[in-house]
Formats: sequence, structure tokens, C-alpha cells
Amino acid sequence: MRGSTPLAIAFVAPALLLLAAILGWPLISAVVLSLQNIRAIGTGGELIGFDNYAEVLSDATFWRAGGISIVWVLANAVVQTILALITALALQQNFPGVRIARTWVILTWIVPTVVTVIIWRWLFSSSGGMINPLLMQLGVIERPIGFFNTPTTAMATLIFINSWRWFPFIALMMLAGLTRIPSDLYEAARLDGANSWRRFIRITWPLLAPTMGVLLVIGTLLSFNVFDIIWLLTSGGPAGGTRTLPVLIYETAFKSYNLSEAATISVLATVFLMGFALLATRYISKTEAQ
Amino acid sequence: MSNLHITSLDKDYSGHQVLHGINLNVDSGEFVVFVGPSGCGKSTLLRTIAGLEDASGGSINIDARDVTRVDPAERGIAMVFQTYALYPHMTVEENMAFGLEMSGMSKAERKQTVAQVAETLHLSDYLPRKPRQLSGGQRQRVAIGRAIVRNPKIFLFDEPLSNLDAELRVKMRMEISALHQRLGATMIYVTHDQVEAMTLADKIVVLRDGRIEQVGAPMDLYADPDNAFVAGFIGSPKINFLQAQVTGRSADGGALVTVPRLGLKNLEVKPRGGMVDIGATVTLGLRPEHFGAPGQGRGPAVTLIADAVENLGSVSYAHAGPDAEEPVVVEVKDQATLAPGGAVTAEVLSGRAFLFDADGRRL
Repeated sequence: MRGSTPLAIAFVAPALLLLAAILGWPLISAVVLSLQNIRAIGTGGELIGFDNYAEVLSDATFWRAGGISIVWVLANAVVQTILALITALALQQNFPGVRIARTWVILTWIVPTVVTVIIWRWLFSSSGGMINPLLMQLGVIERPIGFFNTPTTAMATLIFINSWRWFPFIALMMLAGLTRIPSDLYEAARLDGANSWRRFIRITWPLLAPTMGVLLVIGTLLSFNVFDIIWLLTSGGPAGGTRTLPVLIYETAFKSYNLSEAATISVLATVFLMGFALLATRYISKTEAQ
Repeated sequence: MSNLHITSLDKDYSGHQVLHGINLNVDSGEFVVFVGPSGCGKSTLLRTIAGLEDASGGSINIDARDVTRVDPAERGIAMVFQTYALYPHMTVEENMAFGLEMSGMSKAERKQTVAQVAETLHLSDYLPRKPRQLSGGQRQRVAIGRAIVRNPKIFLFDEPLSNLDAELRVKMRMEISALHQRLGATMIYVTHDQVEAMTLADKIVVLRDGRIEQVGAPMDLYADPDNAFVAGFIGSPKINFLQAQVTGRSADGGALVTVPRLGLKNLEVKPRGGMVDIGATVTLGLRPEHFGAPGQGRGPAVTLIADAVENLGSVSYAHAGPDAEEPVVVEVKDQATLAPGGAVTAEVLSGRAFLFDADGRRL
């Protein structure tokens, strides 16, 4: 840091204050809320210390939702990344219509969530949906199944739909990462006798890894906070099998009318996510520095 | 040690032809330089030889084996790229060993081969480093080392020095030249820099618009160009092109020309062959260094006003003719007093001058 530090601080101050107001205020109110015993919006309460935290941390429902959240996040990260990588590699090729394909991929991403949900609910429905007949014709299943009827199938279906919604975004980011790899590296590798698989493993993969790392973090944070798709399709059911932490927070706040406890879960989730983001970014900058 | 025969090679990109029927022989151990302005097809020709571009027609033979449709890795060539194309995530050693690894060489053997080559290129200390920890010249040497370890039949260089600063460029030029001497390998080198071409080449191939304009030894191209393009491209500073009129013939077959810009009449210039039509308008090509010191009796004297002067120490260049599109450039030796606005007297060494017709063909 050179030059006048007070002046520098003066220059950044407005932006920092704005950030603090936008990001900091809700966080602080959540923390304050979590230390009180307010049940519904508009009702009063008093400071009760860390009672809510003791309550939540000893509640099996919280731990179950936390576990489901982790499964949800990991599964989405894996499915999204694989779908996105295949898509990005395909879109990187030069084939007729590649520009149309690139645009089309963005389109699936900008479809509103509600529309996505309605379309997929209809496709997956056991009466009149297209997926059951398709799977029966392919011989995968013998009779129609209710995809949202068991916790496992409901979870798998949700992961598929959520990944379908988000992979184009990840794919485009990866495509940007891929186009940053100079083409003469591939030419040098061709001259060195590396076939396309080895070029991928030895050139593309290691050079795409930093981008992939960032995308995994972004993808994880995005998936963790997904509420709309889950709520609209299963509302956390059946039998709480898809009740992730955001769903639990919503239910606690607006169904059980326990605003302070919901805030407590939020704060715990935030701490967990911040810890994850901190570790991940530190790991990424360490690998990039190598 | 290998030779290369290119026959009627064509290359077009979706209807746009960039190479037109290229015929070229490169002998074993020769250092051949492709030179020409941007877009002349020299890089495309090199990349087609490498197999990075597919030929649209014609054939490429290396050691009498047709490699036109052979995979780049199987052609027995190695290439040094303009950007070096070093793998940024690999160490110098891994970069150099990558091709050997792909060919299935054992780890111990790879290590030994790379160590030997690194030694000769003074890279031994840098083997564990990543490319970004190296200077431009060191990266260049790694790129060359990566080519050498593969023990190729032919080395291809694609403008390898253009990313280096001027001083380093001269140094690396000498290193590449020494490398050629030491390995005795066949090398093909692409550049747009005619100084590199002149200093490195056994044989220069001048390209323009996807066609070969002339092939020959550097001094042959300099002293005996086939056309105005080659005359203009080879030689620094650039040759002067002057409008002239053929007014007669001398007894021994020379053309007598009038050159208004120099105020000369009946300047005798030997055409390359045959007769030149009297009355024809021609272009006289006269290099700046073919203006000689006055009083030597080597040719008719001219006096020009130097509008601008470039003093390089041992020589100076006088630029005469401010209103003309192209000033006449005259090399002046040992004349420290030369200043803008001053008069320059020099003898025209007409024996070294060339005549070109309206299409730029040598007469």
C-alpha cells in the first residue's frame, strides 16, 4: 500500500458503507433475532441469550435437514459439473449451428423457475407425463412410478431438475475457461503425439481446474440456498425426505411461527457456508499460486 | 537428416485459396527460411508441412515417404511456436519430456534424454521451474529443447523470435544458427524479418499471396532478384524504385535509360537477358548502397539534396525528394558533415542496378 491511506479509505468508504448496509444489516438483524424469542412477524420478544441455539442444535430435525442439505449440495455439484463439462466441451467444438446451440443453452437457463417447475412436474407426473411411458418403453421400469412419492426418488428427481436448471450457467462459465486455453498448446500436444483423450487429461483438465474449483464453490453456494424448486415440487416431502435447511427455515418461520428459531438456523447455515467458502477460496488461491 | 519435397501444394479455407500450387525441395541439412509480408501464406505453408492444417491438394514427402495425410506426430517433425506454446502447468522438464512420454519412452530414459539436451542449452538449472518463472529467452530455449529431444527429421520454426526484444533477438538468432551447425538438421524457419532470413538461411523462399516468388541463396536473391517484389523485400534499407525510359542500346547489349529523378540520361544498365524495347517505360531498381563515393569513376555522378538524414555512425542514409511519394535513399559512408538540406554527390553503380517491366518482372 502506497500513498495516502486516509484518502484511500475515504475513496472506498462509500462503497463499503453501502455494502455494509446491504449485506451487513440483514445479517445483524438475523443474529439479533436469533437471540430473542419472537414467534411471528410483528409480535414482541425479549433477549434470551443462546437458548435458541441450544434448542436447535439438540433438535434431530435440524441435523436431518443439515444432512439432506449436504447430500443435495454434493449431488447437485457432481451432476451439474458433469453435465456442464460435457456441454462446454461440445460447445467449444466447431460444428454447423454451434452459435445457435450456445444461445439455446442460455435460453434454458433464463426460463423462470416456476415455468421450469410446471413443465417438469407435468413431464414427471404418473398420469399423463411423458417420462413414465418413455422409461417403460425403454424397459427401465415395468409400471408407472410416482417420482415424488418416495424420499429417494423425490430427491433424485429434484436433483435432476435443479441441475438441469443450473448446468447451462456453469457450462457457459466453463466454456469461458476453455476458450482461455491457447489453441497452440493443443497443437503442440498434437505434434507431441497426444491423442484427443490425452490432450483432455493432460492439457484441458489441469488448465481448467482453477475455473472448475471456482465453479464448484459457486455451484455449491447456489445449490445450498435453493428453495423455490424444492418448495414448489415437494415442499420438503415426502416424510421430510427433501427438507433441506432453507425449507426447514421457511417451515419454522411461517408454519410453526417461530421466527427466532428460524433466524437461529439461518445464522448457523450462514456460519457453515462462510466457513466452506473461506476454506474453498483459500484452497483455490493456493492451487492457482502453484 | 532428411529432405522434403512439396509438389503442387494447394490450401484453401472454404473457397478462399491461400496457397497456390507450391513446389519446393528442401535438401537434407538445409536451413530454409520462408519470408514474406503478413498474409503471404508462409505460416500456413509451415503448418501444412507440420500437419496442423490439411492440404487441399498436392503432396508433401519427407524422405520419399508421402506424409500428406499422415498424423502430425507421425511425420517426424518438431515445431517451435511463435508463442513457444509451453504447457504452463508443467515444469521445464515435463514440457521437454512430454513428447517422449507420449511416444512411450520409459521414465528413466526420458530423464536422461532431457538432461542431456538441457545441458547443451544451458537449461539444467531450470528443469524444475515452471515456464512463467523463466525469461523470454529461456522460454524460447525450452521450446527449442522440446523440439530437439524428439530428435525430429525436420525442425519447423514459426516466427520464433518475434516475441523477444531486439537485443535478445540477435542473440537467439546466433544460437539458432549455431544449433543448426551443431545438429546438421534440416530446418524450416518462418519470418517476416528479412534480416533474419538473410543471416540464417542457406536458402530463402520468398512468398507473396500464397505463391513462391523466388527461391535461392540469400546473396543470389539480393544480387539477382527475379522481380521487383523480391528486390524490394530483400535488402535493408529498401531498394529505390525509379521511373525510367529506355532510350537506346549500347554496343554490348546494355540498355540506355533516362532516369528523371536522378537527372540522368543514357545510364547503361545490363538487362538480365534478351533485348529491352526502345521507348519502353521501365522501373530502375537501385539499392541505397549502390550509390558510391564520388570521384572513383565507377559510374555517372548525381547530386541530390538530402531532405532527411539518418546517421548510423559508420554509414548515413540521405533521403532525397520530399515531394515524391518515395524519397530516394542514398547510403553515404565517411561523410560526417552530412546534414539535412545539404547536397549529396554520389556515383551510380549502374552495374548493380536492375530493370523491371510494368508488371514488376525482371528485364
